[in-house]
Amino acid sequence: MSQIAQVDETAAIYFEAPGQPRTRRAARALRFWARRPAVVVAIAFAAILVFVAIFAPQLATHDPISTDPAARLESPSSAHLFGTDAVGHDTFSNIVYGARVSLLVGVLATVFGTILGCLIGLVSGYFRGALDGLIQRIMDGILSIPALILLLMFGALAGRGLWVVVLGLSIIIAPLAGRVMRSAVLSERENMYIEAARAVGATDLRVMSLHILPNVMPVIIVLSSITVGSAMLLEGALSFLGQGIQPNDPTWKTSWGAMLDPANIAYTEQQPWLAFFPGASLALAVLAFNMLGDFLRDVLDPHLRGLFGEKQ
Amino acid sequence: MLSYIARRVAASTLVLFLVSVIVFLMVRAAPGDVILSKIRQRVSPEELEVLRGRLGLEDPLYQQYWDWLSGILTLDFGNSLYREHESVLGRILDGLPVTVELIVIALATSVLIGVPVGIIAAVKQNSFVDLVARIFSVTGLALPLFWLGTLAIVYGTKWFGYTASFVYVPIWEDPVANLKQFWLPGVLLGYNLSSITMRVVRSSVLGVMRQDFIRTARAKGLAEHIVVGRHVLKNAMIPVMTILGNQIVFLLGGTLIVEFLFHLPGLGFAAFEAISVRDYTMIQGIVLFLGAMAIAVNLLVDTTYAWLDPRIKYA
Repeated sequence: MSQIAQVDETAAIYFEAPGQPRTRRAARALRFWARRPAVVVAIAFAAILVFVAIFAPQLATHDPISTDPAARLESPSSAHLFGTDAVGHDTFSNIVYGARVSLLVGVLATVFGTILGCLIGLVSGYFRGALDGLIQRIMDGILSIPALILLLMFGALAGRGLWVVVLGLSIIIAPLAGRVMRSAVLSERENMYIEAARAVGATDLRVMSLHILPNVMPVIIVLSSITVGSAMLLEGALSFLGQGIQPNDPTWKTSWGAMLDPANIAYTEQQPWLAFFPGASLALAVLAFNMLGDFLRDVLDPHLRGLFGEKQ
Repeated sequence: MLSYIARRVAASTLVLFLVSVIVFLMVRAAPGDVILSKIRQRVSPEELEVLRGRLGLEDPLYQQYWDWLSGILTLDFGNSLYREHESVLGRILDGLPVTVELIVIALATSVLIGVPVGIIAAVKQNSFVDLVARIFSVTGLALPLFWLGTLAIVYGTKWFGYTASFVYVPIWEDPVANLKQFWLPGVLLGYNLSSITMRVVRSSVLGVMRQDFIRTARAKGLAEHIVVGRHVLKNAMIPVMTILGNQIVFLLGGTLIVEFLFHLPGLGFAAFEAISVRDYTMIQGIVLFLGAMAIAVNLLVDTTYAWLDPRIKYA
C-alpha cells in the first residue's frame, strides 16, 4: 500500500497541474525529501565531490606532486590537513585531485559504456536473428573474462593513463548495458504502436530512435546510475595494482587507488593515517553514488526493484 | 529440456571459442613482446632473432593461433615464454588450489552472513534489524576490497597481533598453517559479496511472502515459523542460486586483489604477472582457463535453474 502511495506522490511532484497553489507543491516536495534523509545526505555529498573535483587547483593547499623532505609522515595538522606521506606529499591536496580522477573515470566510463551498449542492444534486439545471436555470444565472451584481468590486458595493449582506463571500463560496461537494453527492446517492440508505425512506412532507424529509445530510457538511466560506483571501484583497484593512473601523473596528479599502492602504504606502521584517507574517500564516494542509484531506481522505475534486488 | 541443454552447450562452446580469439588477438595487439622483457636478462640481438623464431613469434597470426588451439585440444597449453622451462598447465594446476580455496571460503562467508541476515530482515521488514541489515548491505558494497585488505594487514598487525605469513603453504601439507593464511583474505572477499547476497535474499523472500499460497498457509492456521521455514524459503532460494553462480564467476578473477595483498600464488596473480612480462602463452592459457570455468559455471546454473523451475519455457 505504502508503495503505491509513494509512487503517486512522486508522480504528483513531477506531473502536477501547473495551476496548483505553489505552497502546496512546496510542502509536498519538502515532505518527499524529509522522508529520505539518507538520500539528501548522499546528494549533498555527491555535490560536494563535484565541487571539489572542479575547483581542485583552488582547494588544494599544496602542489600535490611536490615533495617536502622536512615534512615526512606528518599527522593531520593545520599545515597539512590530512598529514603527509613518506616523501612529504600533502595528503589533503592529493585527495582533492583524486576526486577529479575518480569522478571523471566513473562518469565517463559509464556514459561511453552505456551508449555503446545501448547501440549494440538496440540493433541486437531490434533485428534479432543470426546477427543478434553472434553479438550476444561475443558479449558473453567478454563477460566471461574476469573484469580486472581484462582491464590489465587492455592496459598492456593500449598503454597507461586516464583515457585508457576509461576506454577499458567502457568495454566492460557495454555488454552489461547491452544485455539490459536488448531485453527492454525485445519487450518494447512487441507493442501495437510499433507495428502501427511500421505499417505507415516508418524506417527501422526512425522506429528505433523515435519510438523504442524514448520508452526504454528509464531503464538506461537507472542502470547507468548503478554502474558509476562499480566503475570507480575498478579504477581504484587498477591504480592500486600500479596499472591505472600513476602517482605523479603530469596531468591528473594522482588517484585514490594509487595512493594506497603498497609501496606508499609501507610506512603505515609509523603513520597510521596514511592508509585511512584515500580508502575512506573512495568508499564514501561510491556509497553516495550507489545510494543515488537506488533512489533514482525507486523514483523512475518501480518495476525494476526486483531486478537489482532491493526493497519491494 | 534435453534440447535446451544441448543448445546451451553448443552456445557455450561458441562463446569459449570467441574467448580464445579475443584473448589471442588482445595479447598480440599489445606493443612489445616477451623478448623485450627478456632484454633485462642480457640476451644479444642475434640470440633474440633465434629466440623469436623458436618461440614461433615470426609465424603469421593464423598459424600461431592454430598451433596454440590445436595444442589446447590435446591439453598441451605450451610452455611459458618468459621462464621457458615452466609449463603453462603446470602453473595453472599450481594456482588452482589457491584460487579455489579462496573462492570456497569467500562463498561460504557470503552465504553464512547474507542468507540468515537477509531472511531476518525480510521477515521483520521495516524493523530495526531490517534497517541495520540494509545499512550493512549498502556500505558493504561500497568498501573497496584493496582498502579493507590493506587495513586488515596494517592495523591487524599493529593492534590485534595478526601476522600474515607471506610464504604459501598448501592445505595438504599443513592445514592449520594454511587456514591461518587463507581465512582473512577469504572472509574479506566474502564480506563484500555478502551484502549482495543479503539484498537478493531479502527481496526474494519479500516477493514470495506476498503470494497467495502464503496467505492460504497462514489462513489455515500454520504457525509463522512453519510458513517461513517450509513454504517461503523453499521458493525464495531459487534466485539465490543465480546470484551465487554470478559470485563464483566474479571470484574467478576477483581473487586477484587479495592474492596480490596476501602474497598467495593463485590464478589471478599468475595472470597479473604474465601480463606484466607479456608472456603470451601464459596469459592465453590462464585467461582461457578462467573463461572456460566461468562459462561452465554459467551453464551449470542455467540448466539447474531450468530443472528447478519448470514454469519457465526456454525458447
